[in-house]
Amino acid sequence: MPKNKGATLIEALLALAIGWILFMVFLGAVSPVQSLAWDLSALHDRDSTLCLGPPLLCKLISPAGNNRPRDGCLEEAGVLHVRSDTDGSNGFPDGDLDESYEAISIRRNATDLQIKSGGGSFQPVFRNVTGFDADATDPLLLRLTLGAQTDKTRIRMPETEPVQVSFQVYLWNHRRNLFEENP
Amino acid sequence: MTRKDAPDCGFTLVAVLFMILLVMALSVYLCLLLANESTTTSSLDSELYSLILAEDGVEYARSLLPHLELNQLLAGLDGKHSGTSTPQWRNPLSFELARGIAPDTWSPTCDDGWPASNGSLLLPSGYAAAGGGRFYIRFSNNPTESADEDRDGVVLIRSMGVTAANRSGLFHSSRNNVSLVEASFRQERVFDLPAALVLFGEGANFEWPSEGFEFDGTVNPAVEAVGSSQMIDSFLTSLAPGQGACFPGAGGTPSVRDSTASYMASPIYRRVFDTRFWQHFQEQLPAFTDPHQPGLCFYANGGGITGSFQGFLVARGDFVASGASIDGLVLHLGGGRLTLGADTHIRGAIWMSNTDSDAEGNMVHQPLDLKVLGSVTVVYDAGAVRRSLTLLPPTQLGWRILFPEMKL
Repeated sequence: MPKNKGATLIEALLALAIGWILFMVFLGAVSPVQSLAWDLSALHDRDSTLCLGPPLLCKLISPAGNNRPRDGCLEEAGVLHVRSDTDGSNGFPDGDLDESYEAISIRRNATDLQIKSGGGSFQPVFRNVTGFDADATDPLLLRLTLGAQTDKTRIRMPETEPVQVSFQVYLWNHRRNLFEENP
Repeated sequence: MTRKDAPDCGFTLVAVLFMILLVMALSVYLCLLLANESTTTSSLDSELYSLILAEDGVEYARSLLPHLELNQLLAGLDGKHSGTSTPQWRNPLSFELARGIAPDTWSPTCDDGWPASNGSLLLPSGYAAAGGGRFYIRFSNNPTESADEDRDGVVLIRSMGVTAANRSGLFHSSRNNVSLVEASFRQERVFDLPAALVLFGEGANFEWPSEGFEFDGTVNPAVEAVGSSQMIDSFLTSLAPGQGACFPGAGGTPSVRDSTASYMASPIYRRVFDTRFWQHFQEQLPAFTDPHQPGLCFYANGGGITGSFQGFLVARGDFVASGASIDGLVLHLGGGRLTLGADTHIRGAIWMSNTDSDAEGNMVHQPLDLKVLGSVTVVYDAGAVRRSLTLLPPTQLGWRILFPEMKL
């Protein structure tokens, strides 16, 4: 039997103890970075909403009024209604609004930005939205404001306020023509 | 110590190896996360840019359309339409192709609907924009007509914006971002007049000088009447003996023709019989007038012009052209008298109408009023008329974004 039997166990225990101490030291050093990363992640999520929202809404709204349905773009009691006959069975506008995304409504409900297509129900598109405002007074230029907040409590930056972004969507089908379109 | 003496020797090495593996796995994960974020960010930017480029293409087509001969455009440089059997034949490129091409080296194989001038394509490789993006435009006939012959002036423009994929670097992508926008435009040729003087209505008061004036239709009629045969009677009875010679042109002396039937039959010209056409046109004119020379001028409450003018002149009320040299079109929309004073020379054509609507919205014609004084020449020039028509913006009938899932 070897003389040093049991040394490996002691070595292992020592290694574990030292490892644990090192791990705790590491955690202590990393903890501030981790909390900062937590905050940054929350802010990134918020800013993603503000970054992705405008192009998505722009794609949905800018073709409003194609083939001249009534009230191509109408804001009513906090809900933005967008109508556009953009598609049909032969690939061209067919005079009705029964294809997907031909008649959509956009609203903010609590902290969700929701979109409804046709006769369906409202579905959330973006979360942690603090504001959605549409100003349709200019028939050619729709002014939108989208606000967002972080979805979790920040650790190192608890005082961060909601942020909003304002942008304008040009309504191409509302452009004026010198000659009447359907005489 | 021999291996036999220390059978557990090497445990630390294994532990270290495991640690290294863990750290490496974490590093790879972080790298992939970074790559994903980088791709997402650049893809969003690039996709937005491709949409903006596609919109730019539509605007380019809008400015180009008034200058194009539509049937030549639809047939392409080879003069022959290649048919509609190719999938996505209305698109400049198919979505699949657009995603994979190297935009700097690609050029189209079919020239149908690609705008051309003087025998060569205007944008054979698309329009190169900043940042390595391009747009490609293609015209096609509206779906209610045959693909190779346009009769109503309505065409579709499809503009594809392509932003080049990042083909170098650590996290490169081989797919271009592609957006497709379609607009429906009508080229406005309703005032492409066929005679030196076109009279729309049922009657008119004319005052001609005894001599020294001429309305020359060249190979076309000097005078055309639209709306009623009474207009021709009114014109002929206004002429003194021998004055018919002042109206040379096709079809005898005086050269005069009733074009009501041809106007009614044409999808382009028959719109003049609709009161809404005139109402809309006069309402919108002030917003489209252009003070530049050549330009689109509107005298809403009469007035006068002297000197030279090139372009499209519209007037209502009492309007006097005196000592004027006009190259293009003159539209007098009633509400007063059009007077062509001494030393006035017009190369192009004149349109006269004086319409109104009754309580039911039916068109009512009021008498036209034309007075010619002294030496006046009006020479029909189809080229001058066409040049002035290029100042009229195309009418936009539709605008939509197309997606690959749609029937293209």
